[in-house]
Amino acid sequence: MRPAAILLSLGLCACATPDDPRAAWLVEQLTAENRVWWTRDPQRLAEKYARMASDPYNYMRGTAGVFLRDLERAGGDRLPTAFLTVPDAAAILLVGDPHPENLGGFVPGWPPAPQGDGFRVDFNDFDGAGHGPWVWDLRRAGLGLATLLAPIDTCPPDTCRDAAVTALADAYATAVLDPGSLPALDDRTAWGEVVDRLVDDALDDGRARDRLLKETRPAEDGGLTLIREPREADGRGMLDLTPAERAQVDRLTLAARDHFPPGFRLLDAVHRFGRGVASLPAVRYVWLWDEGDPSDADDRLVQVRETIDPPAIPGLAAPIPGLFADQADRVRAAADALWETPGSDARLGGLRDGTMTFKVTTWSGFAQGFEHVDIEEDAAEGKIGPDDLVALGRFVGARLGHAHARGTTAHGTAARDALRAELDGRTAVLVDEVVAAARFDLDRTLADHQRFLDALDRLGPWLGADALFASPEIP
Amino acid sequence: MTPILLALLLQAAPAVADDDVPDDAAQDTADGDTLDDLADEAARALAPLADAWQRARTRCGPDPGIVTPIALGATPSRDWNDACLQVLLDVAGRGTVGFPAVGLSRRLELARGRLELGLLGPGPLSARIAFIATRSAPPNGYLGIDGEAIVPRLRIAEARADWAKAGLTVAAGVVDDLWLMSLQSRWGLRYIAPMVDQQTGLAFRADVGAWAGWSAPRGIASLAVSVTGGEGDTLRDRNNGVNTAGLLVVKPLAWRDDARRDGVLSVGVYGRDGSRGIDRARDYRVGGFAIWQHRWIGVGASTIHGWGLDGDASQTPSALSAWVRTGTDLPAIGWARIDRFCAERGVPESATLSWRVGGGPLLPWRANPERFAPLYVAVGYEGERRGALAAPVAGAPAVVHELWLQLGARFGVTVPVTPVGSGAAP
Repeated sequence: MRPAAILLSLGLCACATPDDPRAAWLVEQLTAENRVWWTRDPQRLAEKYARMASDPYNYMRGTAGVFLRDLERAGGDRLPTAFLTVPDAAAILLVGDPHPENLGGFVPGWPPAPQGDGFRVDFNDFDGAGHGPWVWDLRRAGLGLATLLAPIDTCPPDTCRDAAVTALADAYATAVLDPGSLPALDDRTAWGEVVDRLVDDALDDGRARDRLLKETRPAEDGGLTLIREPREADGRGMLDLTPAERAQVDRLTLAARDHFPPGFRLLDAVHRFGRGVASLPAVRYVWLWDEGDPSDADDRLVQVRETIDPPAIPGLAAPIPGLFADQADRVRAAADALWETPGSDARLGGLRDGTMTFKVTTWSGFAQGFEHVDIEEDAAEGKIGPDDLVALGRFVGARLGHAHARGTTAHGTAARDALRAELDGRTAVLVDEVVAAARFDLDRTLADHQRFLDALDRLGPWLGADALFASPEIP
Repeated sequence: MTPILLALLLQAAPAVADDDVPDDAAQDTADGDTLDDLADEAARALAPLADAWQRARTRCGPDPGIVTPIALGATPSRDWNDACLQVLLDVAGRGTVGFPAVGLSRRLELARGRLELGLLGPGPLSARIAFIATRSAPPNGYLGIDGEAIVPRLRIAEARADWAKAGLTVAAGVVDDLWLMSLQSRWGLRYIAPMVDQQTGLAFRADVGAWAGWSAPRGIASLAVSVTGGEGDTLRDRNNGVNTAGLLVVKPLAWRDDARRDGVLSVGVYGRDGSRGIDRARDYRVGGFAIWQHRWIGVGASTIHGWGLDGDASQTPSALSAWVRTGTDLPAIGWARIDRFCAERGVPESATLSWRVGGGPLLPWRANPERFAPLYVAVGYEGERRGALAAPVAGAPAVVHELWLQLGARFGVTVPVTPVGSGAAP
């Protein structure tokens, strides 16, 4: 007899097991994962949940932690891997969340070539970076790709979608085992129309200083000033700094001088709201700066965005402790280790302000990335076809394989050696595993998205956490 | 009774005859003089502490009791003008080598850092508060306090009243988990390893709430019920429900006058109804144990079954633990324990089997007649084999081994104090 039955008879039962037990688990995981936000800025968290609710891809972006918890969750509802046969393979430096929207454009060097010489597309978000099993990154990339392709009618699951994931896994293995046999990653014509269009748009916008011109207007002194935009219904907006934010920006500016060229001047700063998904509630500033020229010729933009701890990456024994000096070092060092060209973003850096850490990144027309909504529209309009989507998968896989192989293990050894030991002669096994995992993970993500929508309806915009932050604190 | 207190009391108990001490104090070894010198020096250093302990016991009684998590009705009521302050420390450092060598496989760590303060009296009233040391940042995180500093955090904060004649006890605050503490106090080696129930989340170490207990004369039977928030001592309550639990412990041989000589057999059954998280995922438990405790040896086995785990109502976990350890009258600690945790009952691949064995001397055992031996050095081996569906990486090899060396100190002081009621406070 279950204890609940015994206690029910005494009228003491307190639980209310929902019909779908995973829904309760999901609410619990999201509440735990977002504790830092609901204890600090509940309104931003509600906006994040609303963004996650908007479509399955955004939901996937906001649930990297849930993805990792599912991987390590004991029980029958998960897929085994045939890899991780050597210890080092479970201690590779990971990108953390290598879904397609976390790839974007860079023009390495400083000052960047105005014509975009050397432009490349590489990973642009290492917020989840850490050491762990390499298969997690690949599986996450497969899920990201599958989720992106799922709503595209011209990309049926059994042909196009599986083919794209197959291409992703195959290109990953090739990048590790025989990188010379892949086309150059900066050869825009070799990776299909999706990649080509991104390069096209980024170069056009970058050369035209499109981002700078969109976000600024002429100031009275002849220079530029950032445009303020009232917040929209979905939370997007660019607002003046509050006094506390101004003080923080002043402190950060002092700390940032080493990251900028001599003559650095902060011309203007605003608080940017409602961007991103997982990091939507994070404090995000936009800085307009220059190197001292009174004209706007040297004016540039950077984003200064708060970063928090990544979700724990499950490993063979236990999560590998953080091996970077601190959060700021993690943000910069992981990128430099995994980028094809270290210093691809010369402005990338970590800044500390008390307990908060900020990531500085260049914000320009060159720095744009893939957008799942745009790809979906382009596919619907026939601008891109299934072959282009398969090529996108191949590009993401090649980029990830190159990044992993370039990095190191937690022991400081070359990751490529461990990966080669894993993959040599086993590409077909890898492809089968990644394709099966992508199907499995996509089904679960789509079902979880529906659970998430139901939970928002049932529990409210904070998934019930509002009862927690409204309750009095322990004295 | 806490392991610390149990060890101290029994080690210091006058009932232990001097002739029980091994008569090899003047052993003839090549370095015998050095060992004896060290022992004498340790004895001299510890003598004031042992004396203070004895003086305090004279006034505070042989069973101070306040720092006992679950000792239903065992604490005698004291005079309204009498009170004792107890301070207990349990600290240890450990060096570990792990295999296979993934990530940081060699590490030095603070294995134990615990401070417990108790005020016993006046009358039937008492209070205790305990802090443990914890790293302020998660394993792979950087957001902590002053870097990732080790900080103290509250583990227990309990107000309690014991009416010994009636065998009644009530306690409230951040209180011990009935099930876990019944096991842990009998396992007695928490400073070596927590119970599998705590490691796997099947039981909280403590929770916000209250419990009440009744104990029959001589402790032949004890019954306790608790009402707690259900989220443990690390999270705020997430829902309007409460966890209700009941524990019945029977000591069938406790009525005998020579029970201590022959050892004490305890048999317990436990049940818990409850929920976890905002969405009130079920969180039920049923468990039972049988443990025999003797001065020289302890043997125990326990099992617990759950419906729901860590906010995941779909899981049906279970755990089985069997162990043997040295008793408190021996000059050393030693243990062997095997645990089996299954995330989903009926799915053997979801099981994790772990085993641990080790031991070491209590120091300085021979240094004083009271056997006041607050230090220990222990060497341990631990292994773990996870089923294909229990490994952190499903399908990957999941056998890990660890060897470690631990140096620790565990002792306390009891000081008679004059009670000051809240009404007299400034």
